[in-house]
Amino acid sequence: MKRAAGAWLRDGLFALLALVFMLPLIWTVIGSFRGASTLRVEPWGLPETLDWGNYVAAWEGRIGLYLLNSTIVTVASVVLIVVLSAPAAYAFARMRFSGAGLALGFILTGLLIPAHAVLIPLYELNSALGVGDYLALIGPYVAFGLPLSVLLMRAYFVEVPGELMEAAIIDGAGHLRILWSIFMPIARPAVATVAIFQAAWVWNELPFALVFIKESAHLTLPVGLLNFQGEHIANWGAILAGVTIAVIPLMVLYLVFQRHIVRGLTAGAVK
Amino acid sequence: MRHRPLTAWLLALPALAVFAFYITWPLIHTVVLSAYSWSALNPIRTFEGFGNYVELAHDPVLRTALINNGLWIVLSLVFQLPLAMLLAVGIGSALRRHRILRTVYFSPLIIPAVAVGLIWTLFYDPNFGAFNALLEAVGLKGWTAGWLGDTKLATLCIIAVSCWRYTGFHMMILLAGLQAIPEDIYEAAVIDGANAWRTFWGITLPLMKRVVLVDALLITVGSVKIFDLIWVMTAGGPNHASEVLATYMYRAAFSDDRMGYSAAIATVMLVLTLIATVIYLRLTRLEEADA
Repeated sequence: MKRAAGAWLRDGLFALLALVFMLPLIWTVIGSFRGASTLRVEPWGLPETLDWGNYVAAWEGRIGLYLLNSTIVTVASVVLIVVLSAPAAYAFARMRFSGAGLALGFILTGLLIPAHAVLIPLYELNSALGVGDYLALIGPYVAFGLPLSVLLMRAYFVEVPGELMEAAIIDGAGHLRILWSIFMPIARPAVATVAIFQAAWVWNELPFALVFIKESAHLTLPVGLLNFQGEHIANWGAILAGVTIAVIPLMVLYLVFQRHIVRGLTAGAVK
Repeated sequence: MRHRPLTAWLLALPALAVFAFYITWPLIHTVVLSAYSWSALNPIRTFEGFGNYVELAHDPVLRTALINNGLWIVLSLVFQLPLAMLLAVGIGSALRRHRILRTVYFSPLIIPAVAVGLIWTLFYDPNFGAFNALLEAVGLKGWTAGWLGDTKLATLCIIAVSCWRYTGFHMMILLAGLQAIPEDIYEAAVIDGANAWRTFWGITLPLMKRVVLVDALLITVGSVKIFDLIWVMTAGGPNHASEVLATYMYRAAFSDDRMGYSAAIATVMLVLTLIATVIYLRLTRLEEADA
C-alpha cells in the first residue's frame, strides 16, 4: 500500500514535468489560432473562434516555399549520409585492415568540431566552386552527419552474428551485397536512429544556412522563419502559425520512428 | 576470416574523402587564415602573424564571450546532467509504462532551434509576454522583469531555454547506458535488501560513469559552440551582454567584415574544444585504471 503511494507520487511528478515540457508547445499551437491584438493583451487566453487566418498569412509569407526547400535539402542529405556511412561502418565493424583504427578515429573527431570552425573556408570554397544554394548546404551537412552515423551503425553491425555473413560469402555474395541484404535489414533500429537524428539536425541547422544561401527563394525554414518574423514583428499569431508549420513534419517523422531510438542508441553504449 | 585490405579501404573511402574535404581541410585552413587580415571588400590578404590574437587578448567583447561560454558550460552541466539522470532512472525503471513520457521529454529537440527561440522570445516579452502574465496571475508581480532585455538576465534566460530543449536528449543517452546494465545485478541487490537510493549510488552510477562522462563531454562541447538560440533571441545583445564566441565570430566575419579576426575567434573555439576533449579523455582513462 505504502509503495503504491510512492509510485503514484513519482508518476505524478513525472507527469507534471511532462506538462512543463509541453506547455510552450501547447501555448504555441493555441496562439497560432488567435488574433494578434487579443494574444498580446491576454497571452493565456483561448481562441475566440477557430481562425485559420494566421496560417493563411504564414503561407503567403512563403513558409510553404521554405518548407519545400528544407524538405529537398533534408531528404538529399539524409540519403547521402546513409549511403556513405553504411559501407564505411561495415568496413570498420567487420573487416580487419591496417589503419582501420586511425581512420575511424579520424572520422569520429567530427563529433566535436564546431561548425563555426569551418565556416569561413567553406564560405569561400562554395563561392569559388560556384555551386548552387542547395549543393552548398548539402555537402557540409553530409560531412557533419557522417561521424555519428558511422559510430551508431558500426556499433550495431558489430553485433550481427558472424554465421550469417560466412554463409553469404560461401554463397558467393560480395561485400556490398551482404551489406545491403543482410546488415541493413538487421540494423533497422540503427538506421532509423541515424535518419531521425540527421533529419532533425539538417532541418534545424542555422549557421551554414545563414551564410551559404544566396537567393531568398532558396531559403530553408530556419532562416525563412527568421525573415518572416522580421516582417511580421507584431503579428504574434502569424509567427506562431509559421512555427507550427515548421514543427509538424519532423514531429510526425519522430512519432513514427521514435520507438527505434533507444534501441538504436543502446548498441552504441555497450561498445 | 580473410579480407583484402583494398576492398575495406574502398568501402570506407567515400565517407573519409567527403569528411576530409568538407571538415578537415577547412579546419586547418581556418587556423592558417587566422594569421591574415582581409575583408570581402578588400580581398587581398595581409599577413599579420599573431596580430589578430594580440588584439583579441585586449578585446573586452571577447572577454564577455569567454565568461558567458564558461557560464553556459557550468550551468548546463549542473542543471541538465542531474535532471537527465533523474528522468532516465525514473523512466528506465518502468520503461513500457512511460513510453509517452519519454516521447514528451525528447520532443523539444525535434523543434527547430529557431522556432524554439521565437516561441520563447514571445514568452519572455516584457510587455505582452506569457511569462510575466503568469507571474502576475499567481501574485508574483514583483518578480516580473525585462528578461531578454536585461543585461544581467539575458544569458541566464537563454540557458534556461537550452535546458528545456536538451535535457530530454541527454536523458535518452543516459537511458541507453542504463539499459546496458544487466538485470541480474539489480536482482542480487534487492535480495540483499538494498533500497532504491542505495542501489542508485552503489550500482547504477558506478556502472554508468563512462556514459555520464561522454554525456558531460557532449554538454561541454555543445556549450562551447552554442549559437542558434542566442542568435535568434538576443543576437548577443543587449550591448554584447549575451555574446558568446560563436555569435561574436559570426558578427566579426559577416557584419563587421573582418575575416581574419573572425578566423582567430573560430580558432579559439577550436582550442577550447580540444582542451575539453583532452580533459575528458584523461578522466575516462583514470576511470578505467580504477576499474
